[in-house]
Amino acid sequence: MRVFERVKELALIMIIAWISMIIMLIIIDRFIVPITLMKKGYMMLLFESLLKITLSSIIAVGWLYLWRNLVKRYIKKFGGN
Amino acid sequence: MENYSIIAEILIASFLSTFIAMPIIMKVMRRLNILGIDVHKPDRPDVPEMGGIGIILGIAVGAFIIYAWTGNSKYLAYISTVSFVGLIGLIDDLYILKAKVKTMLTIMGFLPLLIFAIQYPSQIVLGRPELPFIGRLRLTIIYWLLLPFAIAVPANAVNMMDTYNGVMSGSVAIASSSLLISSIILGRWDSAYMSAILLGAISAFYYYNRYPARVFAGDVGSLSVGAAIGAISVLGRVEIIGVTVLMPFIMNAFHSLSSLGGLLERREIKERPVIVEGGILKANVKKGAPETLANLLLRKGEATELELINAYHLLALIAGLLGVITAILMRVKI
Repeated sequence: MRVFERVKELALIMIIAWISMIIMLIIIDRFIVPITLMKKGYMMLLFESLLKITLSSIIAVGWLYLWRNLVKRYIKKFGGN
Repeated sequence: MENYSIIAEILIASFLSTFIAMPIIMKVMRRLNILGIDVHKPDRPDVPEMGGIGIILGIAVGAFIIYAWTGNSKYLAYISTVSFVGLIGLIDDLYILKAKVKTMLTIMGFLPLLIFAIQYPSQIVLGRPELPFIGRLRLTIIYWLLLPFAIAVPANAVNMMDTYNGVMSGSVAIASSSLLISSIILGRWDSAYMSAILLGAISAFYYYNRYPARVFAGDVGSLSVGAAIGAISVLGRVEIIGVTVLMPFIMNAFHSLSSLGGLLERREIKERPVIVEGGILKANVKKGAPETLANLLLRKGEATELELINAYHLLALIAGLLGVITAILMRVKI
């Protein structure tokens, strides 16, 4: 089996993971980081930071889930548990 | 033009340091009986371990030369990080640390960077990584939360891929070449110098580590090399390119850990990812076998060790190309 034949699907998964990583970071920077709550104060500032971290984490976990899911499909296609 | 000659000089210096040191290190390791078994060969030969000491030596020579020329503390931070993580690897090679302990210790690998950044704020600026199209991100809180993992993740990911002759060293050589080209494209000469140092040392090591291997890197080598890529990414502010060139390593670590359900030392894993029969490698498809990159690649059919190594290198090359594309796209602003 030629080397390219062996790696092509995993290379495609890697390229999808790379593109989606850049999109994910742009979304976090453009839509989550600018979130500001109307009320001000230390507690609200803390809440605001926690909210941003939580939303960013959800998106990051979603990205990892996509990556893992693609590999699971690959395993399903090419044999195994 | 001066920058290019500096790159060439430190690349040659680090290459020669490692290249000359390796036969001595191999002889010493054999004499001290610090040997590993090459389990993928039919005759299972004994191979000297801990050759990674030669890589650290090469990086140190290159880093000290460039520090002497420029006086920039960034290069001291670079070699401090590499040496600190290398020391953890050395302890692991000699005493075998538990996987969780090793990971926790490598998380502390960002401390030399942080100390130097606090000490020399005019020379070392951390934060706000740059992304294609949009420029510098406004990640102020998240960046500092992620910084402890900037060294630990690449160090452990590279360590987990040091499984076949020349896979780690060859893939890191490709990754550091990509980082070097990307840094030149972006005009980031400090990260170009650090990448050239790593490229020189790892290329010399690859000469001895390539199939059939005459030396193994050991954890001292793989952890320090991973830490070097992490340090280049952070200090040279090319974080996204660093993540991109490391994608095959991250892929290997992430899917392996996901399938195992957590951090385990390789001796604690019951099923091996690959079955070896007379020099032919097959994927272990049993439940509980780690879904490493080798396991995934071999699911498409059995292969010789050399065929598998070439597949790894092709994936590293594709990731390297993505790294260069990332650098080109970073010059595009919308």
